[in-house]
Amino acid sequence: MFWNSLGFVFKQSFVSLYRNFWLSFASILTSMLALTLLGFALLFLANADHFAQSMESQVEIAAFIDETVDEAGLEDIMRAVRALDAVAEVTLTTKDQGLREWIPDDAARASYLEDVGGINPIPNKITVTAREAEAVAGLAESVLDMAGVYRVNFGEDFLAPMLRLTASLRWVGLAVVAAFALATMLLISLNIKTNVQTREKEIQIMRLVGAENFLIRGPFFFEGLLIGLLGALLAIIIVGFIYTWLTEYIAANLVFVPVVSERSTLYFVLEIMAAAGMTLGAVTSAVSVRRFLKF
Amino acid sequence: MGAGGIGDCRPNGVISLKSVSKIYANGARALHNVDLEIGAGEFVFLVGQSGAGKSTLIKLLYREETATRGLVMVNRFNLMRLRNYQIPAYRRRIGVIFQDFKLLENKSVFENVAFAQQVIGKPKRERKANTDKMLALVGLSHKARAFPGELSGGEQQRVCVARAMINNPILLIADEPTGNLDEATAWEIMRLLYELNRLGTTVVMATHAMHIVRKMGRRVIRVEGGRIMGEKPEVKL
Repeated sequence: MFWNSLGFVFKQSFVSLYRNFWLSFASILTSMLALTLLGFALLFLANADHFAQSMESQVEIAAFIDETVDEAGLEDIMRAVRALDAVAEVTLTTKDQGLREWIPDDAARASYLEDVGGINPIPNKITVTAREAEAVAGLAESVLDMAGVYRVNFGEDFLAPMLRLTASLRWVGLAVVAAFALATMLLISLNIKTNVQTREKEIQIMRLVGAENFLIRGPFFFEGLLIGLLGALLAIIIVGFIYTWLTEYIAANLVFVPVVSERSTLYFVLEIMAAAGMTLGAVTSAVSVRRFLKF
Repeated sequence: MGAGGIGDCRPNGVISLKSVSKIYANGARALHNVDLEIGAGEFVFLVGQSGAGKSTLIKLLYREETATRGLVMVNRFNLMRLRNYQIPAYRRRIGVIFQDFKLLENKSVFENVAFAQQVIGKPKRERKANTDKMLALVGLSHKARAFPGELSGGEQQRVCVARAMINNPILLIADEPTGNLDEATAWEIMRLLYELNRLGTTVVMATHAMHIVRKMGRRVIRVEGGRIMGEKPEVKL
């Protein structure tokens, strides 16, 4: 008896989808768009994090030390910098090392020193590596506040706008996903409302002859679930193919761009999309059935 | 069925209403202190003018509405305490037919009747056997594949009777079943209801058709202004 009822529920769900074909099609398409955007937004976030992590290793703070600071003072400054929370590593480049790095050729260096009156103008430099890219700006400020440090250099011109852009894109992405999710919910709801109206007489008869509520509400619930699931399947195909193609293209042509190419990340995102699709469909239909199908 | 839905009724009674009142949400009083007992196997007419309360009484019986006060017992089901999830089990024990038939136009006669068993999960083979039997009982075996639009009013009502009876209800509730039919067809339906009653089904029928009521010679309950204003006992013809 249970299997007969379940068969009836599934059959009715498919019949309803077919009966309002264009509305169902629009709902599936909208949920596909919402979930595709969700998929790309999640992959974008994963890549932004990955990018930020790779930036972290590249972005260092160069702190330049005043001429008046002696060797002991330099040690004090390094100790103070090491004690800061966000610091991963601290290295010293002395005046001489700095000059040697700048002018590697011994003769040229000697000639230069002679030109500037024998005084090496290159300051002592401390290179500070931060643990997180987000901490770089704050860390640079703390280092600059220390006595004896007269200037700090870090990739602020590049990193700060980059982090700001990532944060805004995150919000814009979420807003677009939410807008499409809302549109999907409205369309699924409209679908169910139309089907309830179309099947009004049938539902009336079902109630009269003693059909269980599961049998009356079930088809509408599964219909929403199916719309969400079909939208998710299409979105998974689109996101899966495009992202795979994109990572392969970047790996082959733009080797310097750091991109998440692990399959596990992509599969995780695709799983989230499937779950989100079904949840979206099921929750919307459950709410709509309660709203439109009064007992 | 939980204890809440079932209670004692008089030994052979199918329907028992005690001090039943119904006031709708808009304040309209449809029934006022109604007492009524209908025994198993009875054929009872509910008569009265439009708005007298017949339809409300009928709706209380198939639990479309709930009484505001009083006790409504049908076939050992206490309808006042019946929970929503218990309603399907109750409705499988009764059959209901209406003036406007309520047939599904896109289903054949056979499918319309079998639908009542399909939605309660009966297996296909059992459905077919029962539907064939019911169509034979109402004399529509030869129209099994026809669609409602291809049938006369009387035939459509007979399909409704077959659908109402397929789950072997103990009680058949008929709300103006002859209201849309001509004289001859109305008698066709009355003969069918008479036959079902003779086979043991209790029948409660609301009607305006006084000539039918008089001729049938069955128990008549007159409803006026939401009260039972009189009864005429069955006259064996």
